[in-house]
Amino acid sequence: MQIIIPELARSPYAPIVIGSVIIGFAVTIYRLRRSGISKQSVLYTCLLTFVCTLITSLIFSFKITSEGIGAGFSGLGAAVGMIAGVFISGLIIKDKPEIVMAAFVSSAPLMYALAKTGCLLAGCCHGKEYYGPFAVIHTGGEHAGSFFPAQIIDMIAFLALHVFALILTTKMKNKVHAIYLILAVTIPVRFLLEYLKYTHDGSLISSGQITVLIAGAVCLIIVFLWQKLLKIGSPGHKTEL
Amino acid sequence: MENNNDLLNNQSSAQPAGPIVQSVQSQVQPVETQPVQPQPQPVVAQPEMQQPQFQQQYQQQYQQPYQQYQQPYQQPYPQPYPQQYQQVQQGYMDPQYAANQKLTATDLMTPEELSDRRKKATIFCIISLALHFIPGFISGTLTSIVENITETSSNFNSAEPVSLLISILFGGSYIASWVLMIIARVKYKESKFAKVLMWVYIGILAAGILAVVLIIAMCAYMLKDCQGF
Repeated sequence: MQIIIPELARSPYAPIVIGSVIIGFAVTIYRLRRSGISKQSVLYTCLLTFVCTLITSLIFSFKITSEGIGAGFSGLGAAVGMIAGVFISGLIIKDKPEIVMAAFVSSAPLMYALAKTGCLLAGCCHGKEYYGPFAVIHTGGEHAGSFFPAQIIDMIAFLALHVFALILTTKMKNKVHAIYLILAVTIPVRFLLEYLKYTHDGSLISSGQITVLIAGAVCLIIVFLWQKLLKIGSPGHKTEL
Repeated sequence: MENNNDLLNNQSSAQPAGPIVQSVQSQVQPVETQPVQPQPQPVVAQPEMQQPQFQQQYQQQYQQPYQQYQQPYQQPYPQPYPQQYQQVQQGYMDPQYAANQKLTATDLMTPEELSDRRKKATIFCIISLALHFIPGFISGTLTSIVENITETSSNFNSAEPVSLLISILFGGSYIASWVLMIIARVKYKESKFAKVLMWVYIGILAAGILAVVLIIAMCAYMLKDCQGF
């Protein structure tokens, strides 16, 4: 059995990526409203986080080449931008910041998984050359060929991570521990999935995996700073300010 | 014996109330055949006798003048209502008391404090506006600098740090403009400038996203056409 992706007249990449971000934000807004956070706090947090996610994602992939300006959406950049956005909005708004951070961190894998549909249809981020069962065949364009279904495995893995994150953030009373646990699982999964991609050169750690590690470390540092500056988890911290 | 005593008691109690003639008759008649009935008291009967006169007097003195006064109010209002009636009616039906309205922090401030806050909010908004739009104006200059670097070195690798710096500066200023606007909205809620700015930014962002999606779709379509040729 093989999955054949025809060459599309109009690239669905950008609409799917932006749509996945919007769906992820919609899920987050629903969870924040159910947690009793005010409409204004949700509006301002989501606006700032959305802008940070989008802009950081573009900054990570922005390049000036001989053919002109190249830009795209980087998943790692989006993750860093999202956590940074929640951190900044937490400093300004201070309305149940740990619930806000937990909601966004648990929605990030969903956004990534849905965005991989765009990659699958556009042909980017594909796996290594492969002709076995479930091979993804791109019939035309820049990425024509038969490849390992790395995008589909990415989607399944990150959807499972989203469910895992939802359970953790719902069941665990200490949201900060849940956030660290989600990041501690997500970063290694993302690191391991890099082995399936065509960009991996066969070495033990590729440049892409180093980027994953750097982005993961930046996310952890931002969460640590967020926790310390807002004094979350300390005895003096109040959930409702 | 007990009955006789009761009767005697009744008799004795009835005697002072009734007229003298009736009390004499009761003494003459045998007790068993005709029991003594208590007579209606003249004090109670007297107003009943005078009631028609009293009513007439009351109607003449009070009720008729009252009805005369009441008559204009019972008449329907002229249609349409005069303006003064409308104002009275609206004010009566929907009262607006200051005590019912929620007090905000700005209501308790002096005019000087309010003007200070307005000034601070305006400063935040102006800086935000500058950070939002200035990178767009100077982008031409920056791209020409990048082009000069690439022309002189004939290698695009040397332009990578510059392009990264440009993207960080542009992206950073754009994010900073949003941050300042949100600070103005959260700290100075009464500022209309910040509110207008927020909706302007949302509109520009939505238009930008739509434009990017359309441009990418259109470029792909045009490239396909070119490939056909």
